[in-house]
Amino acid sequence: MKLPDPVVYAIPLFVLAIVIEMLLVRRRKTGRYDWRDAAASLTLGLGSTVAGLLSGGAIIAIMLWASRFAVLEIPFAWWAFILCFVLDDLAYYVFHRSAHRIRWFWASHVIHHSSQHYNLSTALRQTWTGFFSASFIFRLPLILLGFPVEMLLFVAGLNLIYQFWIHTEQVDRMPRWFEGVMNTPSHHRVHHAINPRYLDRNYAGVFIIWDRMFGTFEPELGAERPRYGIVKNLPVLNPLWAAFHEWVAIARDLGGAQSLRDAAGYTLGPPGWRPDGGQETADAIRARWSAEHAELKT
Amino acid sequence: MQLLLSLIAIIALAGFAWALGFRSTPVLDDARALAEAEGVLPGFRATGVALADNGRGALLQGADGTLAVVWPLADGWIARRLDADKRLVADHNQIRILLGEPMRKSIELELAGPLPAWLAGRVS
Repeated sequence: MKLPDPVVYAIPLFVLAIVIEMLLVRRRKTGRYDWRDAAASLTLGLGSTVAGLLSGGAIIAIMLWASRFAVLEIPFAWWAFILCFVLDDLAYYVFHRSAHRIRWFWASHVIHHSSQHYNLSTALRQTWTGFFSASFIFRLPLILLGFPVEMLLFVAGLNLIYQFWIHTEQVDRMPRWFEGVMNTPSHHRVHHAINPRYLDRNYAGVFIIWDRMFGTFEPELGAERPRYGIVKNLPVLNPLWAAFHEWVAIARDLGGAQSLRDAAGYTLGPPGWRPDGGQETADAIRARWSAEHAELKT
Repeated sequence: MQLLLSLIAIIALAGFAWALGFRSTPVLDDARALAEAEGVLPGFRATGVALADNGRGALLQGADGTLAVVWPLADGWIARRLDADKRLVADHNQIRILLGEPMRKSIELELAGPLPAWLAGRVS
């Protein structure tokens, strides 16, 4: 069954939504845009599309090959689409959590977090090196289960489209039931924040229930405004540096590694891992912050 | 053709943002410099601030004796802790900070006032 790529049809809506959001930011004076940052984000989005076109064939070939080992033969039925969408979102949660906890995958994903702004243009900052980091492996279990490759690619496109609109400060809170089940601008602002309280939380794509189930949920507090970006923000807006800087850093660290353990830590450990113990990992930052706050309370 | 259209769309959207006024170049004061450094650098608590003459940067002293620098990028700021291996070279109130990062080798600041005492021990 041939299915369209829903992202292609959504691109004009993305552009329109960005224009509307810019007008809202100007009118309401809430949220932030900067023309240089927006240009970098949009260029990174274009680069990601080009990278996707170059590597897409290989990824589909790998998925089709894997489908030969599928344990079930799931038909193109309405219930299968729904089931595929939900399970694909679970696979996305696992991927996304790994992308923040394992430096190899982070090197590919960091591009999405490299802006200090949080607006709809930020949503378009997508990876250029996803194929190199092999992040597609997180969707292979669904192929092995028996979901058709075309169906999986279609729902993955829908998942990406859903995630576009949550990259905004123009929506405060959605209705309570919606906030309870779905990923929302509020939940995702927390995910993009570098405040120690918010660091490495809310990995969900579409359904926030995965974070609630697996203990990684953190609500946005009115008293603590998110500060966006990465722990060590990039000193330039150069899109090439945004796309490749972490790979360069990994290569440099590997060049100075004293042992296999160090090499493994630099690539498979969490971002910020250091062999000397002077670590700037999310866990270390949060632990230090928690200890400071406990001291202040006593 | 698609690539060309995409590039035109990028230029149009960035131009629209520029036309709407999203092109500010912010200026630091003591409170803002402190907030930028403390908000971004984990565990950093500032006890002293030395602003650049034009408000486009600042050096800060941390409670633990470390230094930090804040400098502008687009409409925002970048902050770095200056560990002991980072050199600071002073010529009167003109300071050159050797960061040694691949995309940012150094930063130059002209301080608004004379070199504060807490900075004197670190500069050469």
